[in-house]
Amino acid sequence: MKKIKKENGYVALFSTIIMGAIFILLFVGMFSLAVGGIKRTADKENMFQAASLANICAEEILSGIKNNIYYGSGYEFFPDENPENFCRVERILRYGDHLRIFTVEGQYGGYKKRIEVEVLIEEGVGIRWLEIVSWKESTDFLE
Amino acid sequence: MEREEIFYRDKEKGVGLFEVLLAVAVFSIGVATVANLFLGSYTSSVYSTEKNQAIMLAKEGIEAVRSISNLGEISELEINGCKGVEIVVGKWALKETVDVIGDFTREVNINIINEAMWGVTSLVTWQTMRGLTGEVLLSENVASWRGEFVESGAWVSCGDFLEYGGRIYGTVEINSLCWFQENLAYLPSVSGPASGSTTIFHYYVYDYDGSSVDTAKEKSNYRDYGVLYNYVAALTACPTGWRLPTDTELYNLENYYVTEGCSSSREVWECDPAGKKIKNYRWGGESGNKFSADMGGVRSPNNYFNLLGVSASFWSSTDSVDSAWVRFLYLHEDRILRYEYDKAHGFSVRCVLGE
Repeated sequence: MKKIKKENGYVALFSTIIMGAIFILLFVGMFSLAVGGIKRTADKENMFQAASLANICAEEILSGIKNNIYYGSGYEFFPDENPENFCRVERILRYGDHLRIFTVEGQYGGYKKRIEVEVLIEEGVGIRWLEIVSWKESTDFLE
Repeated sequence: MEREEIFYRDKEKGVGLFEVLLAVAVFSIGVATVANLFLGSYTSSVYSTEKNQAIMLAKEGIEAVRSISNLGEISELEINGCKGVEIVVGKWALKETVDVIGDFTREVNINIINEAMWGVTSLVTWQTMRGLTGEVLLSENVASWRGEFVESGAWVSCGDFLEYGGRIYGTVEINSLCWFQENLAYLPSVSGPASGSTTIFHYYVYDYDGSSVDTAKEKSNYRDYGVLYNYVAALTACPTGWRLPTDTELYNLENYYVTEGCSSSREVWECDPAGKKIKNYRWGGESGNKFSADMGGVRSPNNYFNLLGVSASFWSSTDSVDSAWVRFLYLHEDRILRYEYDKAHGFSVRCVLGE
């Protein structure tokens, strides 16, 4: 009779400890989910920013080739004061007077996007125009 | 006996109540914490979803302007008045009011960077569950490279391609000096390997033993590795405004890539890893769009071609009586040899900018 009454308190205490452990597990699980979700969104934004930067460089090269078919500058662009956010021209290959293949790379928040563009310089009577033969974008990847 | 039972009962009741109160307190704190965390997690989840939508809407704004540009209509736009985009008769068009899409507001702005380039920004804002303003901003440039043009172009600055003798050369600035990115292929005449001199101009195409310039230019070795020159030919082969580099300029090039140990007066292999740094990728080097040395071989004074695909050699303009200083690269060697070679050798040439 005496022993049973004494154990009532321990049951309550053990129950509390077990429930506390469950709360902690829930806490950790939900915290991880929340943080993971925020990180995934931030990563996605960084990927898009990297792609936008790569597009900036690609447009610059296309514009450069239009103004000067011998254009081959090693263009670089920094959108802000962070030197790790940039786009740059990796290379411009020329095949004769009419075909150019260039590769640009955008990097933002540690994410990279690479674009390879094949452009044909078409010629008519007294005029020229550019024709995009292919536009290949690489998978986003971390540096 | 009866008094003892009452004593124990009272004592046990007091301990039990304390434990229950403690348990209730801990339980309440736990429930409150989990509830708060659940709310925080839910809010974060909603924010993530909203931000994903905002990113896509911002990208859509940029792509809409690009689509308009692709149709060649960007020059007709009232750029300063642009605030948003809309679809009119199946095509994107600019409008003077911002876009409201559900809970999101999108503002698309176009600013003129120069006469051939517009900067496009797409800003999406919304009210988050916490009452704050969320925003996503994407920026891109749209160039006016579409459409016809007349300009044929010319070399303007280092980095541009340069046309010389019917061939186009890449140029690149390394350590404040502008270099040809490929071997010179200027070929006014051509000699077989048996013809050599230290005073008469000789131009060689590896493995070609004839005298027809047109035939020599059809050879793959000409296309891939350019021309091998004896010293006197090399001195005058570069286009106007360009010249053969001096021994010091070649040293500055290799020393630019060196981490330790590179003497300007050496006559041995040194300057690790400059050799690797200036070799083209296909020869195990690391230079894709810089110096990009190719293993073009040599013409030996002993009247034969040698070392194609194995070595690259470049003349400097610095000479003594019968010899001149040369840089020699080797396929499986990360160092560079500086050595004085007989002027009758046939070596490659890289021009540098300057009179």
